[in-house]
Order: sequence, then structure tokens, then C-alpha cells
Amino acid sequence: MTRVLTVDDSRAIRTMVTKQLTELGFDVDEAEDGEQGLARLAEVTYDLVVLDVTMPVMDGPEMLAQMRGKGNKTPVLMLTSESKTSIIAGCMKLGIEDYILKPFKPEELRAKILKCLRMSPAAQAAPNGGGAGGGTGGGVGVAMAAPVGFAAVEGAGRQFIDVLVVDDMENVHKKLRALLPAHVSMNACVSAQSALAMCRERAYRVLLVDVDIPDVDSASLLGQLRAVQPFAACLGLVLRTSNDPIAMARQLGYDGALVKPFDPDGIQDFLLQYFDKQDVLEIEDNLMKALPYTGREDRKERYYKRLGGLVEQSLESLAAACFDEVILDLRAVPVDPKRLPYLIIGLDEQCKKIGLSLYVVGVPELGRIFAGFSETASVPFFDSLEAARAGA
Amino acid sequence: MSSDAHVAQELERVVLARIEAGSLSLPVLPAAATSALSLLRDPDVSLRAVSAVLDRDPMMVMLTLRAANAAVLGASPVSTIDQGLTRLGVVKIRSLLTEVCARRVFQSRDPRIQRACEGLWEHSVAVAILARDLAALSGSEAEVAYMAGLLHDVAKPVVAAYLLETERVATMRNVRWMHADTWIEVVNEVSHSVSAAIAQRWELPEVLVQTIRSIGEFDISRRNSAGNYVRFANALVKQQGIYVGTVDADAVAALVMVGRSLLGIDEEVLQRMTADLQNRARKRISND
Repeated sequence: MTRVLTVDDSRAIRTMVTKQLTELGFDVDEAEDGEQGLARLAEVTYDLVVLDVTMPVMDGPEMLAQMRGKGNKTPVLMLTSESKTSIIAGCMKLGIEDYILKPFKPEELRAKILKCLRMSPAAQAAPNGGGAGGGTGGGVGVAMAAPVGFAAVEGAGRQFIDVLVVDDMENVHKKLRALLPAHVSMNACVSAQSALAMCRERAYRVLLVDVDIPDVDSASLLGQLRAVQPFAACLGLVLRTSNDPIAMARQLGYDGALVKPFDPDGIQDFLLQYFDKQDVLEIEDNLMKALPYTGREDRKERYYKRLGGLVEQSLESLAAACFDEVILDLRAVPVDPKRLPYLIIGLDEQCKKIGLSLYVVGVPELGRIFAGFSETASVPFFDSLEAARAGA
Repeated sequence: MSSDAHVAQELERVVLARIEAGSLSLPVLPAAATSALSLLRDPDVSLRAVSAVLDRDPMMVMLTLRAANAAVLGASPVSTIDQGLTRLGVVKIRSLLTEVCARRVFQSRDPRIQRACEGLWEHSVAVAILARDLAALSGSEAEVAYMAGLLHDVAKPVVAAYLLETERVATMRNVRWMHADTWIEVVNEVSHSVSAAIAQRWELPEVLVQTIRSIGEFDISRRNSAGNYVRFANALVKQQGIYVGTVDADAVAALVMVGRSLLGIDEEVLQRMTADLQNRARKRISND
């Protein structure tokens, strides 16, 4: 087990450190000052020392100097209310892994302790616990598997939201909410300060930021948002009157633009680009029901591709669930004499490979089209779900 | 303490005394900018009053219009100072005016000082950008941090000019003078309290003066103070090599370590914020 020594004259701090580290599965010893700390180090080999600076009898820097003087290279984490650069720089020269300023949050302590143990070359070289001073057990493996750094710790508790709208006009939030489908989650705020606070709390997929918020430097705000939301796409909310909204937004550093006032086509493009989430398929048991297409004519190609991809992905799940047959309901799909036969040919091959029988339900016109191709003519086709179920 | 530090300390004492006595010749700031900054201390000030002051200085009119037209790309260009100020808003106007004042100080007709000033100005702009961004994340006084970042080293060109003048006198009297490298180091040792004294002499907002004065040490009792962000940003910018003169790498590393814990800044966020910082500062300067 990983062994940690906490050296602090404050009993409250020692208790808190011990509690936190015991919860991590570590074995913790305590010492009240540097002299006691050195005595402990002479008896036991530790994986980490958590060391205060100001203590009676012998202070932290003196204990650290004596430790290093004796060749003890156990990693040290300073935990102190001392912030004087000269003192901390002196400790750094003697070799400390990291530093925590009191008062501190328990999560900072845990994250930095885990980081110290992971960073320690000795700990990495000896996964069964061989710390720099010798090591004592197998606890390092626990540390290696745990989250490291604040980002991971904070990120673990973050709730994921699809869209954050930052615009000083509340009506913009209302209009956008009304145009977005219900499954796209959305938060909104009117100020840069609120946006940054919200971005620290939650992870977003897309940030929509008004490029003209009064008293806000849009480029600076964008940089700050990107720092805390590195994986989010950032789009500028730009007025329709701009000559080239996308070029303008990109010039400001955004990934693209969404034009105000919003229109359904613009929203549809936005959804397809960033969510690709127009619902196209519903699955219930072995029934795959294609949903109607509601977008623009020139975007239909994307819909068919997505439908084909989703059906193909779902086939393996159905086979894994031990279904023998699969029913594909295409009655709501816009009839396309070229794309749909190709879709069925591909699916039929896939079904045969994984041992599923494919049954298709569609409008009569689609049945006639399928009958015209040798590859699709043999696929069982029905004009109602009941008939398909009876056939299956 | 090094001999440079001793000289710097003595110099600082002399300079502070002279600032207090009003006998040190400080760079003259654009009158329109300082008057406008003075007006902006009143939270209820009307932009019309600020406009009337700035309208007296054609350079300020030009800078305001340029900043306003750069602020919102694609929008119809503004052509009057009133429109410009309305578009910018109070916070941006205050930053712009402070920047104009600070920029003036980092210019010198002496080629030696000018070379050092260019590097110092780049350093100051980088500190200002980083301090503002870090403060903004915590909901702290981002614009105060920005302005304090711009001004935190304002004493250095002033002290450099003073040293140059002293050098002229020394040369005339055949007195031995320090090596050029030494006096750059001496200038670098000058503390922020001199910058604060200069800012006070210029009658810049008190919050700004106090923030610059507080940069010398981290204020543990007010973790999210603008001064802490400027101190932290200053160390990070030095660590990035955006600085003139030598850097005590150990002291800077210690400052960064303490600052990270004090301000609770995520290491990954920090990496993203410092990425490309020098280019951002240069871009900002080239837009001046």
C-alpha cells in the first residue's frame, strides 16, 4: 500500500490530510514537526511526504534540506500558508513536486497528491509501490488509475449541454429555443461574465456568441471561452446585414457563424453540421422505423446516408440480441428511385453476412421500384407492418 | 542582495522621493486622455462629456474611431467620436485611454532605451492580456487587471530615462559610469511601487494605483484580486521568455507554483491561455 507521511504542527490539518488520503486507500503516518518527520523517515520508507513550512522545533525547509542531505529522494508536496517566493524557491531547489496554499480545497489536495505520485519516476518505475525512498506496497497502482489534475476532477462532475447562447438580448434566447428541437439542450446568458461562469460549470458542444455585446471585446471573450471549453465549436451570432457573416466571424476567430434573425433553413444547417441529429430512425425490438425527412431538398443526400449508416450500425445490435429477422419500415421515407434500391442492396448483403433476414415495408411505389432491380426484387416487401410481421 | 539590487534600491528611494516632490520629469500624457480618464471615474458620467474632451485632440479622435471600427467587424463604420464612444462602451474606452497613456511612456528618442522599451512594451501587453483573461475566468476585475498589466512596468522606462540623464552628467564630469548591461539590470530591479507612484502622479484611477502597488506580493486574503492575477501573469510571461533582461528562473517557477494554487487555475487551461501569447501581444501592438 502507498504510504504517505504528513508533517504539520496543526492537528486539524493532519487529520484532514489523513482522512482524504485514507479515502484514497493510502496508509498515512503523522508527525508534528520536522524532527519527528525525520525520525519517521529513518524508520519507514514513504512514497510521499506532505510537508508544512512553518513549524516549531524544526521547520519544513530544514527538514527537507536534511532529508535531501541524507540522500532521501522521497517526493515532497508542500502544504503551507507560506507564499513568499524566496522560501518556496528555496524549497524548489531542494526538490519538491508541488505546492498547495492553505486554506485549500480537499479536491486540490487529492488531485495534487495523485499527480505527485504519478509524476514520481520511482513510483512509475515500481508499480508495486517502490517509492523513491524504497516504497512499501501496491498502492501506486490505485493512484495511477485515478483522475489526475483539476481538469479531470472537475470534468468528472460536469454536466453535458448541447448549446450555450451568449447574447445580451433575451429575445434571441427565446427565438432560438423555439427553433431548436427539444432533444437539443440549451443554456443561455446575457453577459460575458455569466458565460465564463457557465462554461466552468458545464461542458458544451457548441457556443453561440453574439459578436457585438456592448462593452465586451468579442475576440478576448472568445479566447477565454476557448480556454475553458477547448472541445466546443464556437460560432459567432452575426447580423444578417453583414456582407459575409461567415468570413466576418472567422476573421474574429470563430469557427463559423449563425445569422440573426434566425430562419429555419439556417437552423437546419446548424443542426446538421453540429449535431447531425435529425431523428431518422426509431428502433423497437426488431422493427426499424425510418422517420420522415423534414429538411431542405438539397440536404436530402445527407439524410439517406445517415439513414443507411444508422440501419447498418443497428443490424449488429439486433443480431447480438438474437433476433432472426429484421423489419425495415420505409413508409415515411421520401421515395427515391436510385438511392433507396442501393440502400436495400447494401443492407441485404449485410443481413446475410450476419445471419439476419430482411423484410421491408413501404409504399406501393417503392415496391414497384424494388421489383425492377434483380438485387432488390428478392427482398420480401410488404405494404403494411402487420403483413410484414405475419410474413416474418 | 546583489549589487544591482542595492543600486536599484537606492535608485528607487531617490526616484520615489523625486516623484513625491514633483521634481522628476515624467513623460507628459495626452491631456485629453487623462481628462477623459478622470471623467470616467464618475460611474454616472455621460459619454457626451467624454466625447467633448476627446474631441479636442485629433489623435484621440483617430484612435477612438479606429478602435470602434475594429470592434465590430462588418458593421457600418462610425465617423464621429460620439458614435465611436457609444459603440465602444465605458470599459473599452477606459482601457483604450490607459493604453494610449502607457504606450506613450514606452517610447524614447534614445535608441538604447527605445530598444529596451519595445521589449518591455511587448512584455507589458502580454501580461495585460493574460491577466485580463485569467481574471475574467474567475469573474474578477478583468479590465483593472488588463490596465494594471499594461502599467506594471511603467517605472522602468522612466527610471531608464533618469539614468540616461545621470549618465550624461557623469560623463560631462568624467565620473566613471556603470556598464550598459548593469544599468539594464538595475532598471529591471525597480519595483512596482515606483510604477504605482507614477500612476498616482498621473492621477490615474485609485483602484489602478492600488492594484499596481499590490503586485509585489500575492495577497492571500483576497485571492481573486486583480493584483494577484497581474503578479501571476507577469511570472508566466517571463517563463515564456517574453521579457527584456535576465530572469531568476527559480523565483519565477516558485511564483507560478504558488500562483496556480492561490488562484486555483487548472494547468490545462493555463497552457491554452499562454499558447501563442507572444503572437497575440505582437498582433495587439501592431494594431496600435
